Amino acid sequence: MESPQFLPGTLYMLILQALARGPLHGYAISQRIKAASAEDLSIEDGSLYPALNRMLVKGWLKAEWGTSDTNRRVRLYSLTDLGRKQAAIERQEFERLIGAIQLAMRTV
Amino acid sequence: MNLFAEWLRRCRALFQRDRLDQHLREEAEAHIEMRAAELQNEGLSPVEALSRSRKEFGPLLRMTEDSRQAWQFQTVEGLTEDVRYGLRQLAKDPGFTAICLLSLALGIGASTAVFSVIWGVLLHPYPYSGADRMVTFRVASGAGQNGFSNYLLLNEHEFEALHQSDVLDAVIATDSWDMVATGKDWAEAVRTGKLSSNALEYFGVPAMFGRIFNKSNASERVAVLSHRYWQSHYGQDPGAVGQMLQLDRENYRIIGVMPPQFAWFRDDVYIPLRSTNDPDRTYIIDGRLKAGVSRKVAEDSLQATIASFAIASPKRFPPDVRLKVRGMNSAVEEKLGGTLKSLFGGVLLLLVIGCANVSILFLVRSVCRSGELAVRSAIGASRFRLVRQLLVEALLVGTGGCTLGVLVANVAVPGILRSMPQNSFPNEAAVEVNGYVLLFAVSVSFITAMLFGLWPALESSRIDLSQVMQASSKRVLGSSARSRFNGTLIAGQIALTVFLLAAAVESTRTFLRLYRTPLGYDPSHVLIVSLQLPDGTHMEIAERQHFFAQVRQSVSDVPGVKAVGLYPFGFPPRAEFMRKLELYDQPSLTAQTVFANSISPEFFEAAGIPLVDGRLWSDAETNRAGRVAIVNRTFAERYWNGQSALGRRVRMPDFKAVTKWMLAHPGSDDWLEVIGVVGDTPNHGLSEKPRPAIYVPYSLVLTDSFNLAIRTDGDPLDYANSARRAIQAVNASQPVNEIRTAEQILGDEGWAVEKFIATLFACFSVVAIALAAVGVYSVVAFATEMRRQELGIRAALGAQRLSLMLLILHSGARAVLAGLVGGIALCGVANATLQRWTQASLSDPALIISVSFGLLLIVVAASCIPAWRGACADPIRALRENSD
Repeated sequence: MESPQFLPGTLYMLILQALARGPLHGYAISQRIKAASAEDLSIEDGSLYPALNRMLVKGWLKAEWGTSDTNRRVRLYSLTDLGRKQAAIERQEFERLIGAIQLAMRTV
Repeated sequence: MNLFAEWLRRCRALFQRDRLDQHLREEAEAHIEMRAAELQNEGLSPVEALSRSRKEFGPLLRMTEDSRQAWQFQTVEGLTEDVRYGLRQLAKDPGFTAICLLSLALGIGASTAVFSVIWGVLLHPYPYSGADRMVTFRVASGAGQNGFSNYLLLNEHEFEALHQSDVLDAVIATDSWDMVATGKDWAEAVRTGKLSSNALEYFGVPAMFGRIFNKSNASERVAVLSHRYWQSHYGQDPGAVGQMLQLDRENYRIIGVMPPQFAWFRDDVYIPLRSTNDPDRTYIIDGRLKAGVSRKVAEDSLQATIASFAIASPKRFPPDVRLKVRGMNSAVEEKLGGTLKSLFGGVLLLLVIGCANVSILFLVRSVCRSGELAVRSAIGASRFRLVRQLLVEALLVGTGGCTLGVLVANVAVPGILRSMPQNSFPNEAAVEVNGYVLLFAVSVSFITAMLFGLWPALESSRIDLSQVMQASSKRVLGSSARSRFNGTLIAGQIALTVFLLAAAVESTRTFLRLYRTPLGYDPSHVLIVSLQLPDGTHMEIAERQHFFAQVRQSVSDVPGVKAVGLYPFGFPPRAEFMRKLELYDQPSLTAQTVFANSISPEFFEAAGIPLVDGRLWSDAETNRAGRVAIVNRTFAERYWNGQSALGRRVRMPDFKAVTKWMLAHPGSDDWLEVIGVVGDTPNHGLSEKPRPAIYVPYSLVLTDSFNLAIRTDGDPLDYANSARRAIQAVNASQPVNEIRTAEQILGDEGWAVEKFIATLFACFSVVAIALAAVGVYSVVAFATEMRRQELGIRAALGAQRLSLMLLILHSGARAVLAGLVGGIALCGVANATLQRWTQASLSDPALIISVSFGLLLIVVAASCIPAWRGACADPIRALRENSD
């Protein structure tokens, strides 16, 4: 499950975002999210996998086995067409949400 | 589209569950190792790095579980799991499961069986199109006549005129008549329905083979066979269509065979009604109302038309004619509707009692399972999850109960049909466990499962963990709320059982009262043979009278036959022919009616009716149609109170030939001299007092059908064949319609309905008692189990076993007593309804009290067994068990 410090649904968006530049394995995804957010958005590592599986079910991602830089057998996740579309949608939604919140913060 | 693809992916995953688990395991390992490697780089020791990495990853189990869930059809898989688990739980406790299933199977089976009868007989008896708008017409005299009504009979011309009515959608004329199948070795009566050319289309039932007749071919000699006749006479050969059938020496071409449910008037063969233009030939009229027209409106609208027919030919209509429009099934509804409704009420009560049992058992068991539920709740099962689990178990029991119940119904339906009074339901009615009945059974099972499952589920899922942890779980969960609920259920069960039992005893008493009614005649050893003259034969009065006498004589010559009496219709306990009556010495008495019987004098000996006063008429008087009469005792007492009836003169002004098929001696409506008085016999059913009846020589008015009452030596049915032979020795082409015994008639007409009710209620109440006893047993056994420790202490301190047992019994006593009181109150409340539907009445206090007392004994016996066992338990063991 998403950890409490996330806005609901953001984990999906972050994963989609992380994979936008190419296939990654699970550990790399969590590293990427942590690094990109300057360690602010840390998630419990285990909770990444249920989210990945839910996205597989939805057809946003596909997974295949490959090898890592350290020559380890890992499962590599990549975006499907549907996933790319979804990433765009999520980004838009998120920006609209943030925009709305910022607007509200300024005006109220 | 997306959803479908998603669904497909989930489906595929169903078959790759092991692989998914393996992926997850491998991924998690890789993740943890990679993180550990990184931490090692940051300077941690390998062991530290690994443990830190594991901690960051979080619980492995939850991750696998959550990931797995992502792939599942959430509810479906959860449910399958619940079902599997529920089945295991039920199998673990076969005694519990068996009692639950039995309770439900009996309740559901009985209500399904009675429902299938109600569906077939009352709700959906006819296969005809628009059957709910089909009506029959009856006519009655506006004045007096005790509500007697007859079929509306119209001739062709009047029938045509009725087509113009703006309240009728369609109208048909029919006539059932015995024709003789000729061209064979022996004469056989064929019950032939003569139907107006529009009739078969009116019914809207297509032929099973061939075709029906309609306006286009009704002028030809064609015939359509009933399914029954086709079975018995053509061995189900579809080749029957196209063959010739000879009826009354005329050839009819068979053009079709009707399906089994088409049983209009239970006729064998249907032929088109042939136009005769004879104003005296009349037909039974049936019609279908236009949509939205009520029977009352139709009645008012058609009354004027019928009244105008009556003015034109007063002979054929009762004076001051009143038309009655009745539903096709009205007679059945009146005769059996109340009975079936009360039986249905009875089975529903049975079902409720069965459900209460299951509910009690579920509640008791949930207490025994409280440990399990507490553990599940502690590891995070939500209350919803627990309730769902318990409800699934209830549904499983419900499903099992439904299946068994349908099996029970399948066995019970033929039994109910057998014990149902003969000829009491429509010929067309197909009583069977059909789709609608199954639907009923399934929905009833579902609803009951929810009813008996929901409360225990809600109650036992309310778990206070801290309490379970701290105390002996049993003590906490056997809390007072629960035992109050059990008490309520027991009280309700007992109340309903008292009611059912009282209804059963009362209906049995009603039946026995009728059964033991002094009859005034002797129905044993009497064979009744019905004859109908073929159409248009014996149309000359002297010849017909001679033929009747010959037949009577021929049958009385059969060895073993003691007496043979002729009568036209109406054997006790029911007379059928009611006539107006005038008394010579009391001209002021008008509007009197009497049951008229035109018989041969041997009828009294054959039926076993004693002559009380005077004499019977002689053969000579019969032959010359003497103006003599014999009255029954009620007649003599009502009109000549205390004085001799002999020599008085009476007259029936309308006792004459009213149709072409009746032949009357001139002066049959003259004054008749009373020459004798006979004992009373029931003539309006067994429950009513005999009404005035008069017997006159059959030669006064000869009808075209007559019956022979034959008193025999030994079993009357042994004489059926010899009687038939004796009749056909007189005239080989005279068919025999029906052979019954006077005892069968007495049963059918006298007490068949009451016997039916009594039998079924007796069955219900036996089941109800058994269920209630099981319910009480389980509750007491449960209470004993809960108090084991307390009982152990008491026993250890020196309490006697008997006093311990009384202590246990005492705890249940309040519920039982409340139930008995409730039952008595229920009898009082439901009495009015029951009385409206049946002849039974629950107002006898002795009945109610004795029934309650009887049930009390049974309940006490049922609770003594577990109570005694509890009282006898070894105190040491009871105490030690609890200190663990």
